[in-house]
Amino acid sequence: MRSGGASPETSTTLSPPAVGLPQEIIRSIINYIAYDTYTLRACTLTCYSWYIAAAPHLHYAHAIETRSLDQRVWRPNPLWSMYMLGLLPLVRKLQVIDNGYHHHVWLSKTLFNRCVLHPFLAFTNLRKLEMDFLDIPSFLPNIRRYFGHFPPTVRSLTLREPKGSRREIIYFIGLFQHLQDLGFRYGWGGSKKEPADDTTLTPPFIPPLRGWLTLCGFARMGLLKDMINLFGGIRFRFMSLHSVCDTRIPLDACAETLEVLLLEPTDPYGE
Amino acid sequence: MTCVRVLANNFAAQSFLRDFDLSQNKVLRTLKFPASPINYVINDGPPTTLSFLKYVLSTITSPAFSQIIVIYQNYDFHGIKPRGSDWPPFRELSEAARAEETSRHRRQLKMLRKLHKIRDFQLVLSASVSGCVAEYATRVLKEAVAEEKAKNGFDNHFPEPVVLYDPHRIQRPGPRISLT
Repeated sequence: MRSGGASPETSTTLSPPAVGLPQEIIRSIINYIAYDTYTLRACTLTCYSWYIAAAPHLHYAHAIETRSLDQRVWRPNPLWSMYMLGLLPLVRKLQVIDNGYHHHVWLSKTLFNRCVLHPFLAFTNLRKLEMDFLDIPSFLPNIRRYFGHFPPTVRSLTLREPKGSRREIIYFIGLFQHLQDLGFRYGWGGSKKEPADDTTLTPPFIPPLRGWLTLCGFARMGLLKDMINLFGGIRFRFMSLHSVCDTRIPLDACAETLEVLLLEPTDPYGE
Repeated sequence: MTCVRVLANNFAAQSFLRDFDLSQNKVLRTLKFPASPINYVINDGPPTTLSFLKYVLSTITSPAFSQIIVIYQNYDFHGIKPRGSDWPPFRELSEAARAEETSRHRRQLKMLRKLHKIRDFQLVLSASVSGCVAEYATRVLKEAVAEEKAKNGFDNHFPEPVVLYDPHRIQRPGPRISLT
């Protein structure tokens, strides 16, 4: 690529060769380093075309700490900045996490003030959603106001120690009509106690659930049994089991479909 | 080691064995498990994990079953620093330490060879590690396979394991947003 229409003989300001590459080639290069954030970040600084190719990978995954949402006073924050820059639709995987060891902050309706709700509604292209300590009853009955924009795109849902009765949790799962992967993570020896149930709560959709089932520290077998009953069975092809109270229930329910069994999930943080 | 011990306790306890009877699963084709419990066994830990895997394997009746995938993560390699340390996550290993690392992985292969007596399968060593250390991890595993090939060889009953890099289970390290 040469500047300003100068003849090849007189031109002295040549652009770097990388700038002149076709976008498909740039995309292939960027795909190769999609998991290397540091290199991706460097690529975004190269030029506009490299930024365009690298930005979706760079913003693929985001994690929000619930603890940081629990504040009363509005102030500028990175989530709000990303919202204002229009970057949130690029996010494909969102984790709402709580790392408190002794005291957990429940992800409840009260946390969703203006500066949280607006950015939250801008995650319009999520594929994977992971939420710690989701207080489902606090969002009912208007739960779709907060999560109604997720279902068309979300294919994978992981809940860590959600609060709610069996029906409430199943109702929440039933919001995601295209859901393929489902995960439950509990601490060691998760409680078997079940809160009182509202049997009138019927899930709006029956998700396909044909991908991964991940159960970790899972003892709420009643929840799994109710889900099998309400959804007319489960058909997971892949299963990851670790410290599950009764593995026979998921294994037997997917006897005709299970192709891959992972007998201990890899570290959820990937390291 | 705590997590490995928990894993062994949860999976290999006799009371749980019957729960892992896979004879009803008709289309099962792949069994996956992490490398760390095997590592625990070769480091003179109790052989419960191996017994457990032998039991699970013996119950499989699916005609489609053909593959065991062992998942290696960052912490399965001594040359890679644990999470939360400086970047890039490499330790400088001496030649001797590198050789020991390769040898340790070869001992794991010897252990996995015992599973072949239960039934035939293709062994896949899958490096689910961070992108920047994929080259190191796959090289160590390939060297371990080559070493095992040179010493004990592979045949139809125990075909040469396949080494691959699988980044798909790795969480892409997106930024963690803290509003405070």
